[in-house]
Amino acid sequence: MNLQPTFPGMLPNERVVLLLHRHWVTAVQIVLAHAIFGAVPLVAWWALGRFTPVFQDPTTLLYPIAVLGLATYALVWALVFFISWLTYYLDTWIVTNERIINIKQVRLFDRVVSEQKLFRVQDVTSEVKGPLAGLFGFGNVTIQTAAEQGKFTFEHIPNPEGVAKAIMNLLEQIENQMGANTMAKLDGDVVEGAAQNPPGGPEPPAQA
Amino acid sequence: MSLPYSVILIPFGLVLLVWAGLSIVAIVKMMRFGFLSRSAVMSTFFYAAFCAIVLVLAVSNLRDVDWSSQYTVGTPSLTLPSLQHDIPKVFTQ
Repeated sequence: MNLQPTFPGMLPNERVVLLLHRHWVTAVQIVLAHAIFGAVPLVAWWALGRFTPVFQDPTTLLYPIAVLGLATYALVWALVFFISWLTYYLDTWIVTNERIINIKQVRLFDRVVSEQKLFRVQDVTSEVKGPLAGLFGFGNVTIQTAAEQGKFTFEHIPNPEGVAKAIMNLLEQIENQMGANTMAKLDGDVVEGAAQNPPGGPEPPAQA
Repeated sequence: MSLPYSVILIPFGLVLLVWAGLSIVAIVKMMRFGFLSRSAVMSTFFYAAFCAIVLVLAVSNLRDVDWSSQYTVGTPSLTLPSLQHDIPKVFTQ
């Protein structure tokens, strides 16, 4: 059974072609960093039971303090780990048959979503940098568009060459559907629009 | 001054309240923006299960605590027995 992924704000005839997260190697780094801190309450529990009389007598004040302290640490650790996983997992790039959506989950309450129509894509570049990236086959894909916010970068995604190729194939399909003339007109509109509204304001008329 | 053991539950309760609020926000975000994928659902389930285990362990370990016991803050006052009759009289006239 092939379940088509959906997302909030999806258009009626839109179809998700690529749903990309960062490569799992980056997730392993997060897991390893948290595993060290996760071992602390277990070691503390063992050490307090082995070398101190804290857990032998529940009538002393130290007993509830130790239990509540360890429980608090474990719960806060789990929450921080879950939020780190969430920021990794919700950092997503979606390529549909109509647009590219870049969802950046920076922190728990900090989320940035930007999108660009596929027909505005001008150039797609893939790069694999470093031995780890080469070994596990992940890298960046940079998409240059004709819009003001000109560049999208898919960071640390698996199979960047394949993703770049898939986007170029989509672009070809769109060109075939819309026709080269329409594409040229759209490109012209963008260029004309940029010329009419240059960043520094309108240019003075040329002197004869 | 003496305080009951139950006083230490107040800061724990406050931390637990903040923790619960952030957990709910995180789980709602994961379910809403995680495309309800297997990874999103499984990670949320593991998080909830781990937290439930920690809370159950904490409650079961705290069952034997007598929360009405008093803890004396500061230097406890000591009433020592009088020893004046037990000291041998060395210098007797």
